[in-house]
Amino acid sequence: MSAPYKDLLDITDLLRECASQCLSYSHPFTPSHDDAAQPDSVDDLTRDLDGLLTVTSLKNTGDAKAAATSDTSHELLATRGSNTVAPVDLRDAMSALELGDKRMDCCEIPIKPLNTIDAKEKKDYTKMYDDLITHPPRIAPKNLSDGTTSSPVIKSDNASSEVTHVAKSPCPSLLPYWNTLSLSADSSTCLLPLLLLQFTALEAYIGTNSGGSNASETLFCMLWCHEGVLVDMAQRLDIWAEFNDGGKTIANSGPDVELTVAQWALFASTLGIVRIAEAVRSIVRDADIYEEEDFGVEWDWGEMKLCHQEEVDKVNDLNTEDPTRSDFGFNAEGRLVDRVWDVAISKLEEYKSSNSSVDRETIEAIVLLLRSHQSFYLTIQLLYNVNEGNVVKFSELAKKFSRETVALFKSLQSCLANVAKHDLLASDGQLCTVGLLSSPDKNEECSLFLGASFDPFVNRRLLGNAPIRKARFNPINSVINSMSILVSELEWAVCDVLLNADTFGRLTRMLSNNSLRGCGGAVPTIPKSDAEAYSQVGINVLSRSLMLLNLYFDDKLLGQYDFVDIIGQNMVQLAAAPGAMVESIGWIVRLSKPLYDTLKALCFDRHRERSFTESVLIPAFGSLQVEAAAVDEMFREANDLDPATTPYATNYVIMQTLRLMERHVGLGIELGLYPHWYDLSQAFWYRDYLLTALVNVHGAMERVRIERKLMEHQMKLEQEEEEKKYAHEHSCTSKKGGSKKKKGKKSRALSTLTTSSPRDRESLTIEAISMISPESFEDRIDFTVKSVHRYVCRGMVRLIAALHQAKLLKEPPTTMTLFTSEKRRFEKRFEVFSMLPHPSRLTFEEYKMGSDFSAVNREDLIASVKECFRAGKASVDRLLEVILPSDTEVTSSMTEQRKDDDLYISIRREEIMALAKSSHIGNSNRWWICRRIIIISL
Amino acid sequence: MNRSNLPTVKGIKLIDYVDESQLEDVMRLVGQDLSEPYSSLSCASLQSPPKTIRSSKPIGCVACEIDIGEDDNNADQLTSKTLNDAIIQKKVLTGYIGMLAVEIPYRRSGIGSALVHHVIHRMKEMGCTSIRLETEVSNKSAMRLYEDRFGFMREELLVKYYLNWGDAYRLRLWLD
Repeated sequence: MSAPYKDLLDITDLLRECASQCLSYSHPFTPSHDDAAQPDSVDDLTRDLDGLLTVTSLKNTGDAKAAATSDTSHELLATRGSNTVAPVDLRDAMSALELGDKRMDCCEIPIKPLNTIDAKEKKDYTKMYDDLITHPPRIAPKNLSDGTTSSPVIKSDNASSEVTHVAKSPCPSLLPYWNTLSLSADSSTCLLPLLLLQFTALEAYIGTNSGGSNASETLFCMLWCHEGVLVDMAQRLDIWAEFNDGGKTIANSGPDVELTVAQWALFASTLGIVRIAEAVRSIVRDADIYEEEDFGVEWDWGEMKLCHQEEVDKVNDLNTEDPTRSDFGFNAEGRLVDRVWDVAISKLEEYKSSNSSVDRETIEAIVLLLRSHQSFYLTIQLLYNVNEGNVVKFSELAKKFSRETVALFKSLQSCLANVAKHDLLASDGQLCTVGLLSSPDKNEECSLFLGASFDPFVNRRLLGNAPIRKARFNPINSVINSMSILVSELEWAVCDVLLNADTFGRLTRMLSNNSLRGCGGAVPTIPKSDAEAYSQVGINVLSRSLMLLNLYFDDKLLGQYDFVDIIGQNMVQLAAAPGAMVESIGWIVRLSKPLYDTLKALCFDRHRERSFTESVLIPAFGSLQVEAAAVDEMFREANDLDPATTPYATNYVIMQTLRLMERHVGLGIELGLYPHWYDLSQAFWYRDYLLTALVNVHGAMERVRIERKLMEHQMKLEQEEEEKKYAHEHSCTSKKGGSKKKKGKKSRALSTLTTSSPRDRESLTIEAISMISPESFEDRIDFTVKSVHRYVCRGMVRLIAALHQAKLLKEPPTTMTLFTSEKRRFEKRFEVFSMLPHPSRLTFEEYKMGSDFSAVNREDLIASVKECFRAGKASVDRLLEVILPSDTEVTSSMTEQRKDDDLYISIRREEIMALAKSSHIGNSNRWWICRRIIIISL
Repeated sequence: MNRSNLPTVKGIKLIDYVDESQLEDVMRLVGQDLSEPYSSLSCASLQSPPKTIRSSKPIGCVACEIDIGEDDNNADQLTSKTLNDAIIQKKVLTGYIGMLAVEIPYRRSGIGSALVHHVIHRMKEMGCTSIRLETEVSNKSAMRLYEDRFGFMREELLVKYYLNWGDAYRLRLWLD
């Protein structure tokens, strides 16, 4: 065996044998409290699970014990008593057979270092891992001095593929690096690259695009983050004494001072990363958001508590830099990390200001990094801790902090641009092999420092039988961009909603818009360079979870509004429901759950929203429709109304149902579930039908609303006229005329009404009716958008038919219908709608009839296509008249025009323009095919 | 369609799965081409016979199973014992194609298509109402095979479904 392996023990055969018999995957590793000790009980065995391989139910215990007592190994194979027969889990046992598969267990250590594999090999992921010779992972450190000082990288190619080696040492000791930390970019142990890499790992865990990497693959690899190491750092820094001193007692210069300041900065960054990650995970898990499996899996190293019970009170007494933060509702650990950040930042600032010779740019970058951590943590904690009493205050503060964080990220980016000039940073996408200093001599030292800090091969518990997803670590610029997007999302996707959504309609529109904006908006305006930072399916899981958590709490919608009242108002607003019906609490309460679920669905990823609609919402609204009909019937009977009276409850429920159905089909198109022209034709045809129904129902309800308003207005006029008549008669019968002195504003108005001609009265009535509320105006915009969509869908169906007629579309292959049929495909595609009584599901025959234009000649068909898009364009023009650019000064009222950045409108100008483009046949390159057909036809 | 109408590929023999002695070949075939690391557990759990194709050596395979249940969310795995009961009780049988692999030199000769054709036919004979599978969005040839050749429909987008961060579509063929 070659030199580097002299301390390794060959236990391949033993491992294989043990694995094939029974290896418990649930608890594969246990710590080495005492090398020779045998566990007394199962509890002992599983108390602290890092470190030692636990093999149960061994037949050949002799070999295991021989290995366990070997003085050349720190790895022990503990055995239970020979009488214990562990239950055999077939799945575990079979999975254990795959132990040697590098793709199944990515924490195995390659004998051949990854950086020696050439780029060509690296491209082939499978080949790369198949060719790697690996041995089991290293043990995680329990304190700063745990481990050895040897290099984490074993450099040799001589190992046989048949041999599995267990490293003698745990991870390299962090203590030497802890004692030589530096704030200068010239040093090989400069702190900044380390902190940036920690931040990179955090982004890999929660970032916008790659959010959802497993914590095992990202955070557990950061050795400084392990509990024992953090506690050790806290003790060595004597944080309690420091807190009592106010955190500002540092000498002005000298290497010791620089070291202390650097140590505080490292401690603050590390603890901060852990606390942020913990908070994010708690939020996602508490929100119980639909199928977020990536955050549901193990958090390998449990809660990392620096405060023991006796210290919690001490933490609670800590004064922060900003006294208002004491009200933020942090727990002891939250307060502690906040204080640690304060102390570290003040030490860095003081050190920088008191020493003229220091590397100011590097220190500035570290300060910005710590400040951004702190600010980000405050944002998410505030939004996590809102309650009925503080929701507005906390949301405003969170908004302020999120803006602050984005600004800090921006500053950090420009600061790093200067630091990078010194070649401080270079990354190959792996956390363990980063760092390229200007001086080649120092490069290796720097690699060792960072390699010791980030060990992708550190031992962590396997996650059941499933192989785990590889984490993706992005370059620092992408990391900052991604985090910046995430934080700004918190502002517009959470804070704005909490602060501004005051009605059900507005809340729905805002959530719906956010869902769209989260994946780049209806009109992607993302620069290509940043495209990767955006999600394809919605906003980040953190924002969605926070939104969901805050959607309904303390028995109120958004913690502020009585949900029953809000629904009642919405019924009046949309369906013109009479007060007596809205006051029927039982019915409104019945509506609450399905309506809450419609809001909840908007907080999901778009693909999950679609599944949720199918499995939960549509069945719920099916039942609701039946109940709504019963409510209408009861209402008519109770008020002795005509059977033809508007079914307010039914109209309202059908309207909500149609919205759901339309969105469901629309999402299907967006997610690419209708890939071919014949699929799209069906989807657009069905969507056209749903949109038409929606617009019609809305029109009918609008008419009812206007009629009611007219009736109320007329009643008011009649009443006023009678009053006037009565007053006039009264004044005539009185002996002295007193009307002169009391003729004020009100009486003038009354006299205008009474004395005006019928034409004037009519115009006054129309004026009164046309006076709409701001929310009605928003609804009108919404329905105008719907009508544009309707025209576009109708136009698309006809366009496809025209293209098909011109034989410009490829016929579906005949083999497609070998095992299925077109009819079956159509029926199954829209089968979910059969759960709804209204609108009745459309049949394949209806589709064939509705989309068959074979009897129409080509010119007429194209003319009808143009007509559809032209009608859409007319609606688009109307929208552009009322939605003005955000930099315009709007002088009219909120019921006449809105600015582009208005939170309550359902479409932006750029989206309108895009619709205009698609509605304008022949004017866009995207419609070249239409032009072609027009040319062919004409 | 009777068996004699099923497609064949010249020089290629299609055989049924017999026993675990064939698992090694199945593992080799699925291991070299598919992005996911499939364990022998995964292969063995697919109890409906995988078909391997042999010339002088196995060059392709398809592994599938049949689930029994009221619907997909409540499906038990099929065993030979339960199949008859399920048919008697008129439960829904859903086929699932887990893996399809053909060695690179033998691709584009209709082997994959023949394999899928055979298993669809077999599942239909066994009473399945539908067959589902997942395929990577970027795997255009697989998408074409299932959608254009056999009429599978896209049912759901599964974001970041694979370990390589790839998205997938869940496809389903509704049998007539």
